Order: sequence, then structure tokens, then C-alpha cells
Amino acid sequence: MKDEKADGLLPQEAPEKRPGPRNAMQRFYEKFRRIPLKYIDIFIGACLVALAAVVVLGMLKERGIF
Amino acid sequence: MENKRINAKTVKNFLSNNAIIILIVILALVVGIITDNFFTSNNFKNLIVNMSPRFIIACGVSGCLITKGTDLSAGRQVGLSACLAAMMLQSVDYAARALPWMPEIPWFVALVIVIAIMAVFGAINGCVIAFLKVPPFIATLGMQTIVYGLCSVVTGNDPLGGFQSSYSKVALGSLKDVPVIGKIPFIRAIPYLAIFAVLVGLFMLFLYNKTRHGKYMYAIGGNESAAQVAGVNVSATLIRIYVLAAVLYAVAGFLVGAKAGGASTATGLGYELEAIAACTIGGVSTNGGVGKVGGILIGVMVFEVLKICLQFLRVDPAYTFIAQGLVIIVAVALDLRKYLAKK
Repeated sequence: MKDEKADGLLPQEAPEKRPGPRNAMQRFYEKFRRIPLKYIDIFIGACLVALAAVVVLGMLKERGIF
Repeated sequence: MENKRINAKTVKNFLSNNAIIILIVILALVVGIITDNFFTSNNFKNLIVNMSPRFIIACGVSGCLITKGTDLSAGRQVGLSACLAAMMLQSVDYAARALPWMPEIPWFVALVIVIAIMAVFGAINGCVIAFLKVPPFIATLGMQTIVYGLCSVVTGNDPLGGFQSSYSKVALGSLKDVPVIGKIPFIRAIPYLAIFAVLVGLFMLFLYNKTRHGKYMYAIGGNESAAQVAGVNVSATLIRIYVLAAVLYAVAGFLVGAKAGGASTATGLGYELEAIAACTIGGVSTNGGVGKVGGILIGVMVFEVLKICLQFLRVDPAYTFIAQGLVIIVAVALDLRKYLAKK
């Protein structure tokens, strides 16, 4: 028999605990849990802008303009 | 209104999950339009030839990544494999033979010997990680240095060249040299390197999707403790993964040596980082449990297309490295974003 709350809803299952030690990558990822996705998007956008800038600078450098 | 929001969300998810691929496709289209000779059969063949050994290396690294590990010794193992193959397959007429006593042997015999030797390094990696519980990052970092040292000792830091023609043909030949098949248009242009990559890809597809080993690998990557409780022999599976990875590095190193026409202790330098980046771009999560062979192929293609695009744009080579590094960072950031969005 499953336990039920007074309002007829089943209790939510407790979040599954991740057993065992985490590896370095998991610990690194978990540090960002509290950071809103918006900031990750901004970081990705900044990297893409930097990528475009590097490509343009590289083209100018090879042509001797920069 | 609800449907519109779902569609916008679907589009946004698609864009964020495939941002780098979309970016590179756009870059390739732009480069193709503004430069000559980009969309040519020669350039495509060049792409295939460059992709083939890197795809094989990425397949090897993928098993390690899927089980939440890594293999930083991949590049050096490729280098050692190339050097060992080079030493065994130098022409008997070559004055500076590394092994003057070595008779001329068929290339496939040398390949088998190289695979057997490199499998030992893979087994050592696997045992250290599985039994001694050393983090894969540290274990493979140590192995990277050991393999580099061994390569220096074995080659005496001398570059190796003067290969027998049958070895060079492995990298430079195509199906046009094969009787009957060599007369079929399009098929005859397929390089032997691509055949190796296709065979490895098909094998990995079968292994990852149709075998118990593949299921165990994903189970360990998803939740190692749960996999162990469910009866998976985690240690044996990890050892098999690292041995298979080393075998694939041996094959890739053999092909890299043939393609380059020479080998040295510098061969394979940095290949592991490219392979890890390609796997990440292709959807193999560094968080474990996720990854497909098709994704690995796409990741490798993206990286190689990026390099070719930058060459055609005549970007200074130093800036090319910066651009590749930024692509790697974006790939990891997108993987992180996917992980956080799920949470």
C-alpha cells in the first residue's frame, strides 16, 4: 500500500542521491549549478565573438595589414 | 500560443545543442563562396584523408569519456605506434635503418605487432584505473609521459623515414589499385585510409549498440555503483575499454606514420586534446554515459573542416591554434549548459 497525502497525491520521491565519489569533471559541473543559464549563454556568446575576432585578426595578420 | 512557445523552445534547444556544427557549416558555406577550389573533389579527398586517423583516435578516446574517464596518453601512444611501425617498415636499402637486422616484413605483420605492443599500455592504463582506483586523468597523464620517454629511448630521438613502398601505399593509395573494384567510378577514388576509418566506425557502431560490452560501458558511465550492483564487472569492462582504445591508437599511429612518410617523438603531439574536443563537439558528454559513433564522426569532421576553412581564409597559423582552443571551450560550455538545463 502506498502512502498518500490527505489531498490524494502521492508523495514526491526523494531526489536520487548520486552514490559514490564524483570525478573531477562532475565536481566542476556541480559548481555551476547555482549559476543561471543566462550567464552561461553570455559566456558562450562572448567566446563566439572572440572566435570571430581571432579569425579576422588572423586573416589581417597573414596579409600584413595588422 | 502554447504551440508557438514549444516550437520556439524546440528551435532554441536545437540551436544550442548544435551551435558549433551550425557555425562550422555557415563558415564552410561562406569560405566556399568567397574562395576558389573549396568545394572540389581534391579538397574533399584531403578532408577524408585528414579525418580518417583522427576519427579512429576519437573512437578510442570516446569509450574512456563515456565511462567518465579520459585518456591523455592517446597522442603519445599514437606517436609511439607510428615510430614502432616506422622502425619495422623501413626499406632494406635505406642507409639509416633503425633496425638494420630487420628483414622486410609485410605491413600487416608490422601492424599486428604494433597493436600487440600498444595493447599492453592500454591494459596497464585500465588496471591502474580499475584496480588501483587512480583517477583516469592522473593515470593517463603519467602514462603519457612514460610513453613519450619510451619513444625517445627506442628511437634515440632520431626521426624515422625511408619507408618501403607497400607501407607508403597504405596511406597514399586508393581503391583504384584494386582489380575489378578499381574500375568503378567514384569507388575507385576512395583512399585506403578511409577504408580503415569506415571499418573501425562500423565495428564501434556494432560494439556500442549491439554488444553487452557496449551496454555495460553506458551503464558504468551513467552510474557506476548502480552498474556494479546490477552485476556488471566494472573492472573488466574498464580494462577492455582502455585496451581497445590503445589498439585503436596503434592503428591510427600506423596510418599517421604512413601518411606523413616519417615518424618522430613529436608525432601525435596534442592529438588527444583534439580527439577529446571532437568527441565533446559530437555529443559525447564528459559527464559520462552519453555518446554515439555518428556524433564522434561529426565532431571530427567539424574540427577538420574548421582547420581547412582557416587555411583557405589564409589565417595566420598561430591564430588557428587560438581559434581551435576557443572552439573547444565553446564545446565544453555547451555540454555544461546541456547538463545544467537538465538539472
